[in-house]
Amino acid sequence: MKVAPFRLAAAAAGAGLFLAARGPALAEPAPSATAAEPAEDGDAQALTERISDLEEDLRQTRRWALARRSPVLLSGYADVGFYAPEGTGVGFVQDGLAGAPRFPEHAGRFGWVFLGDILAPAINTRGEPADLGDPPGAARFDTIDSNGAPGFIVNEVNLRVSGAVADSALATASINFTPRSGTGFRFGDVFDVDLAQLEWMVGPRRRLSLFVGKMDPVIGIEYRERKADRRFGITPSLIARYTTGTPLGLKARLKLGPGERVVLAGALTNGSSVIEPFHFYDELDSNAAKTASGRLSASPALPFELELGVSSAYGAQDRALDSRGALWFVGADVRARVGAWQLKAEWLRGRGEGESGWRHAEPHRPYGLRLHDGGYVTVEGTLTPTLGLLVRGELRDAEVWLGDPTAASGADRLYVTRSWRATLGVRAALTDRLIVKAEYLRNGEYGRVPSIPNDVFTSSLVAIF
Amino acid sequence: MRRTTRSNANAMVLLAALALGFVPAASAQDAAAAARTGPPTRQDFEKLERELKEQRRLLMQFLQMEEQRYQFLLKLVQARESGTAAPAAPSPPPSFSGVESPAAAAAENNAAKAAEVALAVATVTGTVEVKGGSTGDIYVYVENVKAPPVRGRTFEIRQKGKEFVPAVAALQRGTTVNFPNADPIFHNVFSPSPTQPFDLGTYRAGDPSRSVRFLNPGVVEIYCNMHGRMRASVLVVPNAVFTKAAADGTFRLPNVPVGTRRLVAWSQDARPSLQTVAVAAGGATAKLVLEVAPGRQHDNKLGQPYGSYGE
Repeated sequence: MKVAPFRLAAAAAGAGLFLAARGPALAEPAPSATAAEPAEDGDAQALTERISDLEEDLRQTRRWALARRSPVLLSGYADVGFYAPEGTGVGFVQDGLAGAPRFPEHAGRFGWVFLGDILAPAINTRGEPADLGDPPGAARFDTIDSNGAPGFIVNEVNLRVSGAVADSALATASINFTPRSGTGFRFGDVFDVDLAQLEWMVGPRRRLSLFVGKMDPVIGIEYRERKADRRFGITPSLIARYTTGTPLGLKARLKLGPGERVVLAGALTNGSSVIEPFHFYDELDSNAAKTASGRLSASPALPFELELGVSSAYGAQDRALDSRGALWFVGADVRARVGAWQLKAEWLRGRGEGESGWRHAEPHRPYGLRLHDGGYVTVEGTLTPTLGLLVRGELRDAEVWLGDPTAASGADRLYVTRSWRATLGVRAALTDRLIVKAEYLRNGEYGRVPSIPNDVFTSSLVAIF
Repeated sequence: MRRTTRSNANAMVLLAALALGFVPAASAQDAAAAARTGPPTRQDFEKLERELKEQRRLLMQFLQMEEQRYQFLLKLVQARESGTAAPAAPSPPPSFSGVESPAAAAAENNAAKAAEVALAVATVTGTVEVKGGSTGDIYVYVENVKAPPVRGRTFEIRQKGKEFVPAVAALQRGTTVNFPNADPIFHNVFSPSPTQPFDLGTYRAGDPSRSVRFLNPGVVEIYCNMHGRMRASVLVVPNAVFTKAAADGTFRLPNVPVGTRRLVAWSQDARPSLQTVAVAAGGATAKLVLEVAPGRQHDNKLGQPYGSYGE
């Protein structure tokens, strides 16, 4: 019996609708073997071709949609906050107007002896102190200059640009805009480029990355969250000033072993990894020798996430006009994650010889450093998917000086720090692009350093775009 | 004559349904055009793209239904002529609200039983040899046996501890995969695979799970846009004729329709292996060889490398 094509198609449609009306109890059609059952009808063939055309059209649309991706990614964040420092917001005091009564061993060797930590009363992720005070003999750009008054602030507007310049090469730049008070009819707003790097990932597995430019350092682990959108809390640790700067030079980072559980990183840069506003930073070198730094980390296969690392840096004294003096750091770090909670700890020691009788001239006057011990332990995690908690304990035992204390005329100034800090923070990740944070920093002193009223309450709203 | 009239009426109903599918979109476009005074914006184009995509999807579903029902009727006629058992009935039309029939999954068993009656099937046994290293789970399926997408069948791939669990799965076309996030941090599940690209956006534990229905056979590589190490691979097979090979590489694949069949072995980090097998009523044997080929590191959803620091 032959069946006319139109009738057959119409009957098929009718049967389909009829069966549809009978509800879902009916079974689906059985698999049919296309090779065994070629189309026997012109209409069926036409339908098959139409489906095929539509599928090809859909594939082309998908390819087009995938190809529409922008080659350049613009992202960043705006970080606004409110802070309330204790006292005058200054983190240090002078050891007597003359004679350094608390540290008499330094009397006569330094023109001024200061006690405390300049950067302890930090109010934001940039690490800016609530007030830099007015120490004699130093003209500084006091970015906050709060005099202890609470206030609102736009901590930072960050703009990040990244683009794949080749199949395995990524160019990234990060620019910070920081609106601050102007003086003398001059705007106080500043911007800084904190990242301008080209990363080339070598090989199909991309286990080796080569960087050139102004880039993340390799010391410790805190640099990974040096930006407000990445940091769980708000303020950096007391040792972040040594480890979270972005030096300029070359870097290699190699992931090794199964699961890439060993990471080896090395860098050759103009200067050390101190932050730009701090005494030692030297973006463009004033001496020929460079700073070599490296870090080795391992993440053993355990039921929980664990990363252990050691790192060090050695180079010519930053800001010196010659390469005879040395500045070095050595440190260790650990990071562990169990469930929603993470522990991070870091320890650091460092030395810088300062002027030490060698050639120097303004503005290339190197500071001396004795970082006996510095470190922190942080526990952070989420109580609910939205609400997070942070607890941090830390200390810094250091001396920083300007000038040559062995010279007959003595050195300029000395900062003696015996500081501890306890931080309690909360955060609410309202969405993946809107985070509210608050922190209370309890700054304390020990040893012969007097207690300084410099606690800080600070808060931050980070809007990520 | 009466039969012809009913057929025509049914055809009209079908055409009307197709037309209705286009009317709302057309009306919306007209209304938007009437309300707009300035030049079209990017949002307008994106809206139109979405509508076009939806219309294409509806049209494809209709065309697939038409083809299935046509083939069903053809078999019905042939069965009456030859006096054999009737084939299984085709599925009801899909609901355009996206709600699947709860009884559809149960009906699949009936369909499979009916298939055995309607088509001669046999069992293919064999081994898959792995060269150049070791692989994870190996799946074997028949490529050239056509079947409609399954309905109401779901599968779950969780995001937990910055990993997809499970990281490998083989699913029949039509399966809906839920991607719940069990981590307190945000993830952004996406796939750049041409087979079925998608982007589920960012969400975390406590947020409603998001899902994708896999309609196209092929391999779908799934990543997180925030954590470059997260990876899952879903093999979407075109029919129910697939199995997972044993740890020693042996497999047994029942219900393979008799005829010349293309047998494929697949594993996550290996090149798929294809072998054409003549399946007789008594069954067949096959030996497939998989070559391990570690894939390239993938890019993020914007087509950019994650960088060395991607977690």
